[in-house]
Amino acid sequence: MLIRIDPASGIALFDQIAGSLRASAIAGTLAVGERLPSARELAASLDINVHTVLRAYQMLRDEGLIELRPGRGAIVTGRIAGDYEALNQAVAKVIDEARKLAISPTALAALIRETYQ
Amino acid sequence: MKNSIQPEVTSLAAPSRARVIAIGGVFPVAVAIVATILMVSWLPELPDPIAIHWSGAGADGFGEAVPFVFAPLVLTAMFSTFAVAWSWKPLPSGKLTWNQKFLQVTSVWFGIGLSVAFTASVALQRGIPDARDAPDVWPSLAIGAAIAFFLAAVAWFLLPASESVTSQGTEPRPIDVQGDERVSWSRSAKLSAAPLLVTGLAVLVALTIVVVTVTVSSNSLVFGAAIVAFVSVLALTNFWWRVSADRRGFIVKGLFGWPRRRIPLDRITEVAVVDIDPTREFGGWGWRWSGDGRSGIILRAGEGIEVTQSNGKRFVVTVDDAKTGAGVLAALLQKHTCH
Repeated sequence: MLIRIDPASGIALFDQIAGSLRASAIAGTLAVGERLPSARELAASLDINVHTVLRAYQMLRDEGLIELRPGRGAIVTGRIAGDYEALNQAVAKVIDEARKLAISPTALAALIRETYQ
Repeated sequence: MKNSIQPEVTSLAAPSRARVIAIGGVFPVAVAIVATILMVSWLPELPDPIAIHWSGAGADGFGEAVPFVFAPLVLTAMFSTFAVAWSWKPLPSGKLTWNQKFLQVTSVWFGIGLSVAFTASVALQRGIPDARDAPDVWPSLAIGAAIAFFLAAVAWFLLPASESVTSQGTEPRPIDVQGDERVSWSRSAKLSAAPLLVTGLAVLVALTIVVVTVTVSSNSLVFGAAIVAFVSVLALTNFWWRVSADRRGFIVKGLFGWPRRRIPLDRITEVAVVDIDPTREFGGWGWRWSGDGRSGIILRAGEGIEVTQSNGKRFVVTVDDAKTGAGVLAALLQKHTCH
């Protein structure tokens, strides 16, 4: 489970955390039953406020991706609806192609974002 | 403990296996058989019941002679079978792993020590009408232990040389980290089924020991309870872990936040993705030391993250998605050394 946040990106930190976790769930590295680090643990890891992590966790709970159990932390309970096999394969292919052309991840992300809009 | 990764026995390994069977298996069992024959031949001369337990003041536990005289043979046969089975496949070079060799030597020590101690304590009681008058057993036990240690040392030199196995790791591709981006990778890791079964058995054995000792003497209750508590806590703390990689370094934490091990980034010199064979490289599961400056938390066979510390020691944790975890560490290390 990889989480990345960029304080300079202009997107709220809790949104970035939730986004990272959603991406992990889609990529399959965050399986159902997996226990997430406690909010305090993740806050210490990323050097941010614990309430920011809690807010992200609450957001994912409302979406049905995780369950928050008092004293036991957050557990992945649901899958994000949909079959992501084809998407994951397409992503891998796009990245392969970008590597061949020596396109940086930032440039690739920008390209996807622009095309998406 | 068969493992599909292990190669078939080579022509170099076959003589090693023969030596293992002779030294760790046949020898202790043969000694136990001789001891049993001796003790059985003494049966008519023994008091009934015989003394089977001594404390500082003399014999204080009594029982039937027949199960007692067969105990060393049964226990030795069980342990030797286990020891030989564990070393059934020596390394392709004909050498043994450190753990295999240690187990063979222990098998000799266990079998000889048990046979001598039991035979001596039975010999003391020949011709005594009442077992309460049995002489003190401690000198014979000490002699038994000394002989056992001596023969175990001899066995060490007769056995094939030991060699530590270390698999070669691969360097991970550092993940992409831009500017002020912060990354945190973590994953939970659980002990796999086979060692879980072994741990369950260990707890069961501890429980049995407690029940037996408590029925023999009630003042061992505290001692027994302490054993069970110790084994249970040990089992629990080794069962579930959280592995993380972030700005603080490489962190592994047990179920209750303890045991905890953190290796800060500035003490890491190298990161690798490794493929671990628990029994061959570490001699088992749990928090292990392999004897070649490598320690680790080994929960299953397969992929893991290995970090080399600045003092040259290596630390391994078996964890899923090791590629990403190691990639995060590699990226953070690059960033760390750039600043």
